[in-house]
Amino acid sequence: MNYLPPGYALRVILLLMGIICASSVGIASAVEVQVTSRTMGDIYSHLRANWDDSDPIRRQRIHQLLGLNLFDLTSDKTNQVYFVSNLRIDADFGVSVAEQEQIEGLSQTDFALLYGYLNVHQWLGFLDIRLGRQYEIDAIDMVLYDGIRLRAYSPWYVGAEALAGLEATHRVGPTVSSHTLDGTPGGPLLLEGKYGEVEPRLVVGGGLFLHHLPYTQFDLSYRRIQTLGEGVDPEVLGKPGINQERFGVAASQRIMEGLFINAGASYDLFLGGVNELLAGIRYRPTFSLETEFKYHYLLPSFDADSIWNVFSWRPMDRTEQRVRIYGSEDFWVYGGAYQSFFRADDSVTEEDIDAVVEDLGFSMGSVLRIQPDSYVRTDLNTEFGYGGRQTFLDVGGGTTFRSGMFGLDGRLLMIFFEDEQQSRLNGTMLGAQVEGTWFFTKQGKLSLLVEEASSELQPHWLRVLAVLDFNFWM
Amino acid sequence: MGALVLTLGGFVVAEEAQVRVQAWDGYNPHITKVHRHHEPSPVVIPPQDIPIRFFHDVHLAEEIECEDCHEDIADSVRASDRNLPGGELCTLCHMIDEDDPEQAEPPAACETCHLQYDGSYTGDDPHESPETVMYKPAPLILPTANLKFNHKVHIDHEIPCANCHGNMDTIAVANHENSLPVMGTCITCHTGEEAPDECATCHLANASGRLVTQFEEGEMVPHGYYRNDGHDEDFLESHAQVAREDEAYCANCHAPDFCVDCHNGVAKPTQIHPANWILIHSISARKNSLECSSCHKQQDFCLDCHRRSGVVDLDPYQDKSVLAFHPKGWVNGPGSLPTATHHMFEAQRNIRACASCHEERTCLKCHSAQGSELGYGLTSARKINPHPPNFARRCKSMFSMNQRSCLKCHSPADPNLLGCR
Repeated sequence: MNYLPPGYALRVILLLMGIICASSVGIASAVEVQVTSRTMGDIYSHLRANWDDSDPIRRQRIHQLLGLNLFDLTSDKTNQVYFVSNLRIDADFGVSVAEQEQIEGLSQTDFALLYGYLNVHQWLGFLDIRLGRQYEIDAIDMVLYDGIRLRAYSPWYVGAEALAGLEATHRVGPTVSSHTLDGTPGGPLLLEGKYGEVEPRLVVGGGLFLHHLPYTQFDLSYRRIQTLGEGVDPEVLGKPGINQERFGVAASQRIMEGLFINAGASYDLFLGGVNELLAGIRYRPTFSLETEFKYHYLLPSFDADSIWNVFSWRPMDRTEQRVRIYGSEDFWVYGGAYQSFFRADDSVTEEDIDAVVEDLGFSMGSVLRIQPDSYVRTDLNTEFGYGGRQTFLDVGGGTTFRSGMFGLDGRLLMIFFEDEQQSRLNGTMLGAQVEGTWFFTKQGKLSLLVEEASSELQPHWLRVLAVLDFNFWM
Repeated sequence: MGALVLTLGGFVVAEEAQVRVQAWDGYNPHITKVHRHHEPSPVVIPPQDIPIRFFHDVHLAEEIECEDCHEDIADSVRASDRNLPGGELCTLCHMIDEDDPEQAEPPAACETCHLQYDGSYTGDDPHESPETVMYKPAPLILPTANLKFNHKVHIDHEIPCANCHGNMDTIAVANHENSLPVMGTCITCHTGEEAPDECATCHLANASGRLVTQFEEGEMVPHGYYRNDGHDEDFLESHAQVAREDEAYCANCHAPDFCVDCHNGVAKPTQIHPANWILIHSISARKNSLECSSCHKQQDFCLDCHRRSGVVDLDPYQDKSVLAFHPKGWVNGPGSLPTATHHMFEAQRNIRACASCHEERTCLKCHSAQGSELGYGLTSARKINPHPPNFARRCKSMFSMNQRSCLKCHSPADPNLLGCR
């Protein structure tokens, strides 16, 4: 274990959990206690870049997730106050000692508190309070932090939100969805390629949202993440500053039955411009027909510590169109097309390059749900242009047996693959995935997924994934 | 069982109704249907079988009130209450003469109301058997809805039956297709003002307050009729917008671990990662057709594996490795213009693909302005300016918010920084 979340945060969370557990003992008969456990183990190996199949990379991993949830802490059946938490422990027995010695930071084990917070719902009839390690999903994206969030609901459909805390960055948890780079405070590696202390980063944010409007959704968010203190090495790296500061907006409106529009945007104050735009329209004029159009503009951006914000100044954008034809609630066919555009500055070379490189894709397929819980689906997806060409031909299905005690899902796949940069990967691959699930009690299930694939590079590739779930109400 | 006789008691039947009642042959009450965009979910309201011939329209035309037949409805507080009249209640008006059904007006045998019932079966005919002849009335199959519903509350608030069940005077047999409300009907009043709008007001919830979504009849999922939230084949990618607009809405059904399972990079849904994904993920990553960083946040998720596999040399700061992996012309010589295969164009198109193998040090080696004193374990730099056109316009703002990215390449005394301070 070489990378822990900030120690003080962990101590606070564990203390909070301890207090709650201790205080709930006296009222244990009234508090609803839920314990969840998920154990995942997978085994496979894959080729190294030298294609030497005598020395593959070995994956022999176990992930353990452990949740403790306490509901209705006020014991009045309102569930106004509750506590939820989830821990994750990882071990990869496939990482050899030699590899660990060679690669800085490569670890066999990892540990993280994914979340652990106390939630008070509708305190005084208008205020939600959340305290502890939590992740926030808002109009900007997602962030994980140790702190407090307040959401107040007014009688006039508008609510306000405020949050503050310290960002919780670790290797295995969900934090900001901009890629977190090594060499920035969010990344575990310092610029020199060595591991070091993670600097504490303050997260503050807030926003407005609409509520109690069934056909209108709106969220306006502001977020600022800032490194605290003097910094690890201010003489060389400079004093720390703002790592991210953004406004985001996301909205959706049902215009009439079957017609929806939605839009979103994020403005990056550090970059001084819009870094993401989203827009969509979905129209279902009749039960049988549905059309959808989506647009996505993205300027890749990083923590403000990163020099890569300087290199990244050309946006990617993408449009998607999709049509669905419904035969019934349980059967539909669909077809779609999408275009992506990748841009570069062609003024700096005398050679003929494309200022805009296009990527095109088409898909079609069908879904048949057979009540109560079986399905069959097909999908054909092809894309070509920037980056290479790939076509997926995909058939899948699933059903349950013996009143849902056993489930079986399967997928057959054929892939045609032409990588623009790595021609050695090119070829045709056949794959099969079969997953069996056994609900051995109402509190537990065991799933076993077996994947087999065959390609010119790897005639046989096998992966086995087992997942054991428990969910107890004490 | 003897044949039943249906008489009309003290009621006068409208002429049109008599005609319809007498023209029974071939009449299928199940085809009576109203037009609407969708029907109640078969998971929430499980499929029913009502093998009864009945005419709400006829009875309403006679000004018979709903409560006259559904007599316990005002006291019903559960969705599991049956609330249907038994045959005895029918006989209050329909004087059934079992001995001579033809004397009734209109004729009233058992099969008059009980569809496909064959009252003539006696067991004497060797060509007939209980398996092939419906010798007793078929049962009504009315599974309990997977909902909470309280008729009493609604009636106490003087809400007319038609507000939820629609115009019954055009309907024969009422069933889930023609007279049970869909959720859109409920949320016209359940707005949070007139009536509570929490999902668990009507939907079943467990002790956590989250909705129960797994039923014997299947999984209850939104179909996108009221919000843009249809859990269709595309939702795995498009759910981000719904979550961004209203995270609390998702939390009505999903506990936090549902999100974390995927967004911490553990679950690897097979819909996203087909078999042997490792061998074929490169094109999708380059095109950004899947948002990899939605679940794989940290750069070393990519980097660790690429180092282990040898895609990245363990010492990646040597030009040989760069040139070995990338096409010719990826890095140009001093003083020459970039070629069409130069790395700058790829970096501009999607620099996140670069992040799967390279750290910032890779870039510093050529782009740092600090020449031979750049540090970070590197010995020299070629001082190639990577700034885009018009960068000077925003560098002051960037420097004031965070000077670290500047100082990675520029020394604090660099005169080029003066304009940014």
